[in-house]
Amino acid sequence: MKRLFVALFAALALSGLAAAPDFKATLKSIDEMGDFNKQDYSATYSIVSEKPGENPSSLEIKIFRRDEHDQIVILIQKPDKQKGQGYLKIDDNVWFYDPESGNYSHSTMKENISNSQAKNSDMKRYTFSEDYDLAATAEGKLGAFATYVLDLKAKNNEVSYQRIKLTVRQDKAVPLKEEDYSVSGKLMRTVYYLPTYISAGGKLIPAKIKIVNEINKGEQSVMAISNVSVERLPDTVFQKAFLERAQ
Amino acid sequence: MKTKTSCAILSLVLAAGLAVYAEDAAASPASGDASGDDALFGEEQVTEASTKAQEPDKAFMKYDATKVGGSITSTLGYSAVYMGGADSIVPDYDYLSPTVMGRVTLTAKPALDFGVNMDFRMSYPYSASSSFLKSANYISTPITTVVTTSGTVTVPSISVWALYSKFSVGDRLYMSFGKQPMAWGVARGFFQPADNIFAESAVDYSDYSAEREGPLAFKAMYSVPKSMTNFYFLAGLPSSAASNPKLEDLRMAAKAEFNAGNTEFAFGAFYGYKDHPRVLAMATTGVGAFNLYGEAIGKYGSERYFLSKSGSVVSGAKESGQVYFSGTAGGYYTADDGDLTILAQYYYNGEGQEGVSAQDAYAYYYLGGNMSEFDNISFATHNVGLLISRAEFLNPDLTVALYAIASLSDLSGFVVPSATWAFTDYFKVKLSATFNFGEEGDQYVLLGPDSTYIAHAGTPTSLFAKEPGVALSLLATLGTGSF
Repeated sequence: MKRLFVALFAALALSGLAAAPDFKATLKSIDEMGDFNKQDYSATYSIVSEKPGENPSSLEIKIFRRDEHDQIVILIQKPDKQKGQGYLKIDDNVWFYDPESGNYSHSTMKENISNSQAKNSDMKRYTFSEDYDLAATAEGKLGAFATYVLDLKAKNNEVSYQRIKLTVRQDKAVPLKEEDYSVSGKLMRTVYYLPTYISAGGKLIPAKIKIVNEINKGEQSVMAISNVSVERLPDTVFQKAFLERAQ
Repeated sequence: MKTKTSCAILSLVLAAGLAVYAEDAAASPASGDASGDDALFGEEQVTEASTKAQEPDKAFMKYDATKVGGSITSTLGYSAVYMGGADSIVPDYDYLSPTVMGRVTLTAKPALDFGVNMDFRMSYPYSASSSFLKSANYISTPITTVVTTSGTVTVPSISVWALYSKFSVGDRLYMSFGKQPMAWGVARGFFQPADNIFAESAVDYSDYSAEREGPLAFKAMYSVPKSMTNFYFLAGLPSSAASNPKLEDLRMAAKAEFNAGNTEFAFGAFYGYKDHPRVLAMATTGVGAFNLYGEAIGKYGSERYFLSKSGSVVSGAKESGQVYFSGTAGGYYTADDGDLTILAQYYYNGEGQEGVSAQDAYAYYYLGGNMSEFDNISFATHNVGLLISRAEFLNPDLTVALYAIASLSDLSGFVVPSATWAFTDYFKVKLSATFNFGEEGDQYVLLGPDSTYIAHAGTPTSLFAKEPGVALSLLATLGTGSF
């Protein structure tokens, strides 16, 4: 009988542990899984954007990443009138290359990309576990997936959104939906990470992402990711000359 | 840099696309209702990336075909100019300013290490007349003379804005040769002293970031491995020497740049046999949400006449053996939403004229037949510029802006507020006004509020405007776009 009670108690304790997942560890796991660490990452992003009353616009870019040294290169491939424009980011420095003038513009992470809506932290890999506190959790369901909904509050002003509601799969630490809120609590945008993945280098990369502008209704962008590679890139990719050579 | 839309998308890509996840054994997802968001989240699908060597940094660098592109700039403007003291609604003078400029670009990249760029432009009125010698007859009696006859020919006005090739040696040394833009400075604004050295067109104040025409030039860039240190060599042949180029017409420069934290430094030197040697120092950095830059140039000798006035007599002389320092410092800020831009800049011109008015200088150069040496932009010693631009002001289709330039030497300048309404991406209307201020003879007064006084109203009463005025302009953008 005593052994039965001990076993029952242990089972209850374990079930209790299983029923209360460690969400901080989940967030950390999401952050770590987003870091290619010693691998390089290359991919092609095709983005179709829609705005009410306007024709859809298409953009195709090549991305090269070396997370080990916080380096990113972005090259615009389409539309043709912007082909050759490129960005190089190393730590807090961003260089923009304009093939028409042959000029490089240097700016810092604190400044927005010229004439853009790009936010300061959009060019860096923000970490949920370091930049946000877990304010509340709930269970839910999204399509075919049982989910946890994590309500995150920002710890600092460096991030773009002071509050994020992150919907994560229960079966694995993979976000499905991210709702970004302003300081005033207004829903600004929703990012959908559709469950179509590309497997590369032991990582799962979402092949399709949909971003909806919740302020300007009807505005949205759909990104399709292809040509994924974790092949080691030459060091020359992360230098200014590569932007010029790639044109 | 550069459209707002593409940069916004880039930011979204980086924010969202940086998410990748560990590959675990897939679990069977539970079924759910298919409605709204639910419809997006069906069964999981996983595909394997190719493991074959792809050389992703090279795969896209070669073009299968030549890329043809271009743009058309179509605007029609009307300006009405009111000179100071005018008390009538009728302008002192007015004019139309139609602009229809076509541009065709060709970009070819038949090999990873070789490419060609061409840029041809044609502007209204699309043709120009040139006179030519038709005949020359020698007549010996009754007096020795040569009788000539000439004719005129109308030719299409097509300019070659750029025509150059790009090639590389290995992955470190990149070169280009041909007519190409030569931007090597860091100043972002109305005053670009480093770029002025090679540029063959002036800064457009209404669009300071517009590309500037360059000379026939050779450029080389060497990147030091595993660093952000780069070395440049530039050599240009100005268009003024195109008809009979000689070795002494070459103008050369070298530059070295490196990074320290979030600051980029550069040092350079310039030499031209028919020019004056210079040394340069440049830096760009950021403080908070502001980006800052500075350029400093030390120049040995000057080509300009330094003027002095005794009574009513203006005399000029060139100086030798002097070192002139010029420099600019400025900063710019862009709001988080990208709709607000503020730029401020100061320019110190070490070769500025002191002790004479701009009108005295202008008259001296004009009467002396040296107008090509008069540079209104570089007349003053102390100069400032300011730009404030707000897109989507109260309405997504409305952009308001204001830019101003002033000489702190004679306290003259001009201010241009404007409002642009975009009916569509290709049809816009802009209303602007140019107010100049200062006194008679000052730099920004004597040519009128929009610098058109001499062309439209300068003679016979006076070559120069005597007082400030205002130029009201209405500009319609009709079908401007790129392809």
